[in-house]
Amino acid sequence: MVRGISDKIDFKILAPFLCLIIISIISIYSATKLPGQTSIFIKHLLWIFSGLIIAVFFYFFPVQRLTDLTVWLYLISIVFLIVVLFVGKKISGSESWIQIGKFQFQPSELAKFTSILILAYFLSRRNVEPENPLTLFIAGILIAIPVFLTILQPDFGTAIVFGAIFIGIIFWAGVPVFWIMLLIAPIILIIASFLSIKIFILTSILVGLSFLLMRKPLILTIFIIALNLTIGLTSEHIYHKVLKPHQQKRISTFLNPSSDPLGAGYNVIQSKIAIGSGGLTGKGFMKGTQTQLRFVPAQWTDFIFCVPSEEFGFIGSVVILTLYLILLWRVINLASMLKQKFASLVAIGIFSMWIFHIAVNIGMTLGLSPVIGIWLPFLSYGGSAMWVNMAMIGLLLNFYANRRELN
Amino acid sequence: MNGSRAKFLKVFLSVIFLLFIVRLYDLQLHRDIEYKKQAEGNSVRTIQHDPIRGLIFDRNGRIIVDNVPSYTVTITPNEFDTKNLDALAKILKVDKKYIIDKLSSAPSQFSQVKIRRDAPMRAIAYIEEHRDELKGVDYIVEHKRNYRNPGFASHILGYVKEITPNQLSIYKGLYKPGDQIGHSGLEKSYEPLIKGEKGYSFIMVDALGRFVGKYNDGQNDISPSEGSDLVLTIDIELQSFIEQLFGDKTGSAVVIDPRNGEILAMVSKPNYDLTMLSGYTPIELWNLLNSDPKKPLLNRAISGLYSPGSTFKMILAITALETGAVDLNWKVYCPGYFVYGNKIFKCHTSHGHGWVNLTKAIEVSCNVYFYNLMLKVNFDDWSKYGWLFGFGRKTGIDLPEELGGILPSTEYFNKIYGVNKWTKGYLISLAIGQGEISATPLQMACYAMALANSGKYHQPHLVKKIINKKTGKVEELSYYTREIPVSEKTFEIVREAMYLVVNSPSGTGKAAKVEGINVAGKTGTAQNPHGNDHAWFIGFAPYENPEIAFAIIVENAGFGGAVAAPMAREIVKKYFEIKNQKTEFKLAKW
Repeated sequence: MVRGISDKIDFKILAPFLCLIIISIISIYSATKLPGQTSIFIKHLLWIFSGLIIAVFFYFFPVQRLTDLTVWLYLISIVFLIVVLFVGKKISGSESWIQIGKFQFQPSELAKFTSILILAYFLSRRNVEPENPLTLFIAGILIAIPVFLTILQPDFGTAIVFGAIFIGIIFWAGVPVFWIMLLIAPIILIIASFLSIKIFILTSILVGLSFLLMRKPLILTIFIIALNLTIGLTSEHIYHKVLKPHQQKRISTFLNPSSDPLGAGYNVIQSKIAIGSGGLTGKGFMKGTQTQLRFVPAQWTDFIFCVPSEEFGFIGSVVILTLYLILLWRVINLASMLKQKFASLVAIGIFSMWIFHIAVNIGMTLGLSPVIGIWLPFLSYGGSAMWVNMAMIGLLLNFYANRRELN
Repeated sequence: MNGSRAKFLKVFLSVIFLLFIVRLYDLQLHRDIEYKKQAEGNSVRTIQHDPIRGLIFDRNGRIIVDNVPSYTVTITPNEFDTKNLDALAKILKVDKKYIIDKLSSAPSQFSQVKIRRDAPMRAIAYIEEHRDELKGVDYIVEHKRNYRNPGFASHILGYVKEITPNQLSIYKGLYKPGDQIGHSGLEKSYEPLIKGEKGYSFIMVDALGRFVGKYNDGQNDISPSEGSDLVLTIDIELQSFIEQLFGDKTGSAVVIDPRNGEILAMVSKPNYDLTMLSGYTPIELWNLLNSDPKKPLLNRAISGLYSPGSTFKMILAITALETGAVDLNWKVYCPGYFVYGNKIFKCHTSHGHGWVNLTKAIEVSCNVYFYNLMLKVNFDDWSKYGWLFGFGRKTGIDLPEELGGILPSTEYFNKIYGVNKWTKGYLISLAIGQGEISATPLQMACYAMALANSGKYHQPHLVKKIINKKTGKVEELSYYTREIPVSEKTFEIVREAMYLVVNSPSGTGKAAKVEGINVAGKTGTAQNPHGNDHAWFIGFAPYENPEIAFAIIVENAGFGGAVAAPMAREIVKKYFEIKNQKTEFKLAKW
């Protein structure tokens, strides 16, 4: 009987997920325990319970039905992304919310999910050859549409998430590494160009070497390297001409947070103080001064990691990281296990999205990555993201349960 | 599917998590102490509570100085919008630059800086009404000194003022910018006792600086402790009386109880109103007080140096009698002048005093007698007796600004003029207290005290008792007393001569005579190279059993007998009037 349950339910996904949800409830409670903010906690509980229903729904939803609906779901999410540009509600500089009555939701969260589905759907079609450049081109267009629409909001952070999903899925689909390198090399060089000349030169050499190692024709390799260097060198111009001031500021404060202690860098300084002051065992539940006294901005959304990290210290932080590691590791194994290409690609798309969110979000609270306003899966407050993540958990459990049928 | 690609993803995943663990290790286990401190600094704010300065009472328990609440306007620099600078400067009646200077000297951008003490009520009302616009501007209630007898005893009491950057560096750690500190007078000399101890409370604030709660339930808070009260030796009634007696005259008077060295009154004129300096003092007022040629801020009683004039003749008389140079039978004929070498020294009456002995010479203040006497005594003996009576050194009064004056000696002249570069002729002026000799009115009063006491020299002092607010105990202070080694017989002669100065028909100090009370004294005229001479009168009363000794100097008033002696009479009369009132009151109460 026990074997029967573990055959139907992947506890290596369910258990860390449920633990993270419990940690989330504790953290949000601690972060919002001030007069006038308790409604956030109540809402958070509502999002979790409604999200669990969605998870159950996706657990039982036939995968074949989902495959059939994928194109429609994708189109609907694109329509929402267009609509939000006209009726969107502005929150911290970006028009990314649609308000329907009292209910707000972010179409871009839905689009993350549907983009994973559409890419998996496209790349799992029988006649699609991953080595064919046309495949990469069509896949590129499918992801470029939501990327373009979220940049218009403008929500730079979410746009990059689509990129991460895209890279993860095409990598798993078997697109040659050379093509992927062609795509990510300029991005790496642009980031490097903002850090310092030394880092830029070092990165350029590494990128150049990687291309040389791929043993493509020398002329092509030289051309690619030259093109990448040009992009890297002109990125600063683009930074000043194309990016919005709040985006510029985010990048510049990432590079030197203490330059503007009360501006954008303030968040990072305060979150590092919160985490660092937690020490080995933390200050105790509800006793984190940084949290309780509101020194960390957006502490129940983007900077939620500070809360358990301050109150439960290094031990608490490592527990959370371990839970994420177990979950993500399992998703890779699940994706490897699944014979059906669509399901496998969806699993890796979900993995790509989560690993990017986790890496950037926790990295930002630790001062390792730029302050890009993206949530931490399962821990951050936020209905749209919670629902999408719950749907994904339901879907992954669904894949596991039906792993033998999915061929 | 693709096993190597899965491996790559696992490696990628592991690298990211390893990086996180390393970073968390660095932040939470390696640098945690540093971040804990920052977190505490973030959330815990220290609020300083200024202690209440001790009160000052007069000898009869009347309050002279207490405290009243005063509003101090503060600015939190990081919240303050500089566009409000003009409006604020206007309502606070200060310069824009004054505010900018205060802000730039702020130790922290996040804590309040005191901008203007003693802000007018209207300014406080304005701040209350415009709270939304005037971000970062607030006020706190502090205390300022309140003077019950404004203008009286100002030099003794001294003023309290915001600490200067210079003082801050001297008293490192003890004071903070914006703290009040005694700058002069008793407020300065008793500062450590009177200031009290600051209190601190620790509060938790959120990121917006809003009060959230007490840190550690207030268990770490330190409540301020009140400063000790001072009970002075001053009789404020007598003090006020003498100050009024001076009117517009410039000068000083010190009245001391010869039985114990308690100073009953210490007047320095012109004076100033401490009230003007107790809150916020505009720079113009400061400049005015400092540039006034009459130097109102100078406490003449202890820092004013004057030639003692003829009052110093008793020192020479005592020297002569004690060393046996002359006795009462030794007489000098005074023709009205004295010739030494090619110089003529005048007596103050052109017709001369005729034959005079020591007693008569003091009574009529005959200069010629003392010119002759000076040549008969050893110069250094004279210096020695001057020194014993407290000249040429500080008395040790409990005020910070005291000067010691000049009492010449062979050593002194050798130093100034060189060995053998000066003659006995230099000493002749010294015989009558002129030339290179100076003393403060306080030294003169103490000299009168020693004569009244026949040699008992008490340390003059202004504070009788200290009431410790913490322990509730009254601490009596002890002061030194020393015996001047001069024979009773010599004192009898000199004291009798001083009695005659006031009570004989030919005495120079007749104007000091009081009906029913025997006053003894000596007139003097301090030569003033810058204008009219200063008038001296020193003395004591009653002659038989002295209760008060005094020194009075009136600047530019000429002859001592005409101006200073009548003031002495009034002071003595007032003293006994107050004394009698008190005994009557006591009897009535009984």
